[in-house]
Amino acid sequence: MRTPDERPVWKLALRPHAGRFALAFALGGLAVLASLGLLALSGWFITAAAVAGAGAATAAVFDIFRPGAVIRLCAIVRTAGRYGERLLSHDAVLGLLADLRLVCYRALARLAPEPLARWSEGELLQRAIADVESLDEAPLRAWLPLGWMLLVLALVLVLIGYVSPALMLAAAPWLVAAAIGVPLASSLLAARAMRELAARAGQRREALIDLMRGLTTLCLYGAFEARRDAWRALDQAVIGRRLRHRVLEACAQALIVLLVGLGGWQLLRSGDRLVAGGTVAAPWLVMAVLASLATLEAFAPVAGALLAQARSRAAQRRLGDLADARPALRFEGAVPTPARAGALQLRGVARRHPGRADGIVPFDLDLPAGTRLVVEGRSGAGKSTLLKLLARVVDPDAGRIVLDGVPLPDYREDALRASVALLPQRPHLFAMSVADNLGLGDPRIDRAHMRAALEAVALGDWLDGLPHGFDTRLGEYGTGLSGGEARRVALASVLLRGTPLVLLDEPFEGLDAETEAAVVAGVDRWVGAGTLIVVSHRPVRFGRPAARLRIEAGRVSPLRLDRT
Amino acid sequence: MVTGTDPAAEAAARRWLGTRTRTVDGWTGLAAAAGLAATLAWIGFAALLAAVAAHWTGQPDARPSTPVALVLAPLLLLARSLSLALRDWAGCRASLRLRAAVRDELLDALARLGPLRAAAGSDGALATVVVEQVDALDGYVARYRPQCVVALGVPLLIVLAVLPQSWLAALILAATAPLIPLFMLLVGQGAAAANRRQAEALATLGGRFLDLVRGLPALRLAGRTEWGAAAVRDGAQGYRRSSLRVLRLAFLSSTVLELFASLAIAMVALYLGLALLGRFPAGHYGGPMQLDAALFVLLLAPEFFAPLRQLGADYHLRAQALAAATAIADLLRRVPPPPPVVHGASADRSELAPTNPGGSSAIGSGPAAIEFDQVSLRHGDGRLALDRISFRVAAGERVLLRGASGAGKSSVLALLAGFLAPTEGCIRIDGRDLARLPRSAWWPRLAWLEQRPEWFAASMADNVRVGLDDADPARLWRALTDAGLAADVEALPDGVQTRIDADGGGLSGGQLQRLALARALLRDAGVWLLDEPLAQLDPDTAAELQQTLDAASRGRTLLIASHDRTQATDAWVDRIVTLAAGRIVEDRPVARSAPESR
Repeated sequence: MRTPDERPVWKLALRPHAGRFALAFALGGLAVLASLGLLALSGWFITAAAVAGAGAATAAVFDIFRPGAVIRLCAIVRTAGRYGERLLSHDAVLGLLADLRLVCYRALARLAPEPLARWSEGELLQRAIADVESLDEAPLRAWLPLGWMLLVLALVLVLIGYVSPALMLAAAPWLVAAAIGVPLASSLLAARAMRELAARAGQRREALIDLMRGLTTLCLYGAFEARRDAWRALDQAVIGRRLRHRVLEACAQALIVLLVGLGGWQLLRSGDRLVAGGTVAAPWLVMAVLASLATLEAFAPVAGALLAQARSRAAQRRLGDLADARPALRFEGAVPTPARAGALQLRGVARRHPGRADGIVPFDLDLPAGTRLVVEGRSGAGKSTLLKLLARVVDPDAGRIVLDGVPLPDYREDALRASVALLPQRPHLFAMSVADNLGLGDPRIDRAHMRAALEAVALGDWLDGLPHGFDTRLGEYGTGLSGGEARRVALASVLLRGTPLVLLDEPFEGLDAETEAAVVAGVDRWVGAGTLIVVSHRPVRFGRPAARLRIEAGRVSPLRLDRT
Repeated sequence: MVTGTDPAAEAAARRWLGTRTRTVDGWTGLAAAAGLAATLAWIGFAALLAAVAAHWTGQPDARPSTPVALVLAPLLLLARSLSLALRDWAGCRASLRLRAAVRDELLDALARLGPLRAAAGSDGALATVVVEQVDALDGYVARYRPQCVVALGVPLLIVLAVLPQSWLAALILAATAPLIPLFMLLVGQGAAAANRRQAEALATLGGRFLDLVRGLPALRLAGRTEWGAAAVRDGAQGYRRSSLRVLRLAFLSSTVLELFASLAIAMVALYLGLALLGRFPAGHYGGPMQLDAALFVLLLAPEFFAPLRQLGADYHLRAQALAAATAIADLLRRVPPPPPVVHGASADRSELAPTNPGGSSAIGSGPAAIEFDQVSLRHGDGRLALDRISFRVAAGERVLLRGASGAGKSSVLALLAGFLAPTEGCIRIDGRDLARLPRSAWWPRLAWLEQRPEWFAASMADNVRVGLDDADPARLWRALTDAGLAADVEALPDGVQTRIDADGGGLSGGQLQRLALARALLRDAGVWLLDEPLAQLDPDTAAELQQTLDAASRGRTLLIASHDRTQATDAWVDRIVTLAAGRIVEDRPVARSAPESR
């Protein structure tokens, strides 16, 4: 039923919270039993009182205080137990979700950086996050109710058996069918529909996003109505299946109500003879009947329990897939020392995917340490791909890249990260403080260092103008900053890494000429003896001669050197 | 999504939700009626059960277990269970009807907004409104609203059923019932505020997690993923602590309900016992209380509280629906009112119907003459985007709209395409009021080029053909050739069948604009509206595309918006209209000698 590959992630995360769930189960069980006891005991009590009340002598000596006290106790235990169970189970679930978030984060971190670039644009990422949140369905809606159901079923059967074994045999089929048969049957019926539903819901969402992306075009060019109707059909298919699913759940619930009621009724009819024969006292029979009717409170939530379990299992499986996904590139190198100089040697490097128009055809390149290289070319020509190859965000399909005499794949990951820094075309700023965004929590980067980096990218005045200096929080996606400022904060963060090879993708976009000149000079000074490669579709001039490279539709031109 | 604490927006959302839910009142009523029927069946079953039990204890006047009762009891149980199923089914139908209607409304609203939808959010966020937020109305419509009626009706039915047996038991129940909402109100107000804070905390936490995951490439490249992991852990643990504080209070409201329900049952049981023993003479009628009456009352007592408890447990559904309604109403608020000629929803729909763009239409085809007559446009937030502007474009004339960003260029184009309606003034197409032209007649005459054209994850051919799926390959190639893209496409291994991403991935910016141009050329549209088509391109590519545009657009009415003074558009347009802050500051023809001077 459970494939072994989903065990590690989900089960390991669950283990530390097992104690809290167990305690929640115990308290909830107490509440369910108290609720059952409240009705059963009340039934016994009034029937016994009626029997005793029939004779004047017995009525006078009938003890009402002890049963009365127990009934009140049941009322209070039911309330308190329910409250405690709710708090504990929610605490456990919150703890579990916190751990699962971390598991999810680490799984995604293993895949970063390349697949995530695609992910963050789509909705996949949000779906992964929603999955983590739907995992709590299994403990809250499936395991705990199922456990309580079994507890109640066992206890009620024992109670009826104590009153009379014959009665237990009369009631058991009905109660077992209600508690176990119905949920099992409904989950079997729903399992396939559910898988189909999940697939179709995914299709519906993708189709809608595709429709939305091209909305203006579709409207103006007369294709909106057809596309909308196609989407509506998809939506109807999803909704129709969901309706069937819900009706199934409702029917299961109704069937449980019916079976529990019939069980109680059957108990009553079978008890008829026994009471007449004097084998069973009427108060005990009434207690058994009311107890079996009161099981409904524990049985009804079980109708959806197995469905919730199935939903949660789908999420578990996806989380497992995420944890097992193979990263596009693996770090198996063993060289622990980072590069010092930043000399690059490329031989026959190519990256091109069949059927796609972008990429780079094989080329060679030699850059001594300390080079300033400007990569020019049109948008989409392959400039960004070149930088990604050099930072080992992607591996080339062919050829090799050597940094300071060591092929890139031979570096250990930490050594490579300490050798190369990349400013991507669309850098991400965190909704955190300026200091956090600059240092990314690296304890070796102090504030003086950060200030120097900000000054290098002409943001010194900007920093002084911030209300809380380094502790000013940036908004989501760096809101509150202009596009040029956000880019430069990310640029400063890249410079602060202090690597000998610095790769910048369009770092000067959105800057006026004066600022651009200042930033170019600042970056040039900062990188110093290191190698600096800048991608730009505008001409860039450094204070020293630079090498220039043009990429046209994936073809890399030979290197040209500035004559100065 | 955090709902704003803005009370006006929330009131509007509540109103919107009210009007929409009223349209499915029939189903809701059926669900509520079925819920009440289930209770009636239970009352009958309880009476039968009590009578049978009483007959064993030798109660003299109890009815014996006649064959009628033996048949009737299972039937009543069946009726109860069928009613419950009917209640759920009717609730689901209500929710389905409502959600389908709201989705249609949203999609049509978005179609009306066209390119202006970007102001309401990214396409992904809008898709979330259409799918998830609409689905978030489900629980409220399917369960909460019928339950509101049931929670009122069931206690009433039960009090009425108990009253003939014992007025005191009825009084105990009736007295606790109003106490429950009272206490829920007292505890609930605190809990509601706490709930809202917690929802905000959750959203913040979710946002933080998303933020860190989005930034993962940067963290991985900087070798700092563990720092991000620590931030994830701290955030989630902090949320756990703070939300437990909130939950302690929030669960109190349902606990109060439980307590009242439990104690009321206990009190009723004790009273019944005392009455049966004859130690409690008051509360019932005539002689001593009988067992059948007592058992009947006891069986109904838990049922009295069940719907109220369910309502309490479902209270969050209402909050969820209101949050969703706020997001939906916020989106719908942005949509301009439909043109006055349109009557009712059905006409509205046919207005968006596909028509054959090449076919004849009532208002003719080919290049159109355009006239803006004292047109003003005011945005929803009160800003004046256009201030009484007037200009004419003759049929076949090509006009450059120039101005800084925010000057009103895009508004002019959006007005012309019908995505906005003028606040004042009139736009005339070939002398006819645009507001009275059906879109199905006007849109086929238009070609629309944006700064970032829209793409579908499909082949290049499909992307060009949009809506003209039967266009033959020869026409497609002619359009690609005229757009200056034929050579590039031929160089691709898969030719026109090469797939592109929805973000246009796979082609350069210049190639994408040419592809969009091919899309316009394939339609042979007479009126071209171009919104900064060159802004994202490098100078060389832009200059080449200018030439193609010039050649391809001869003989068509063309409006091209541009903020860039350096671009060579001046060289081929006939006239330049300069806008500043919503007014026309200059309207001059380009000297005929200009093309020769190049």
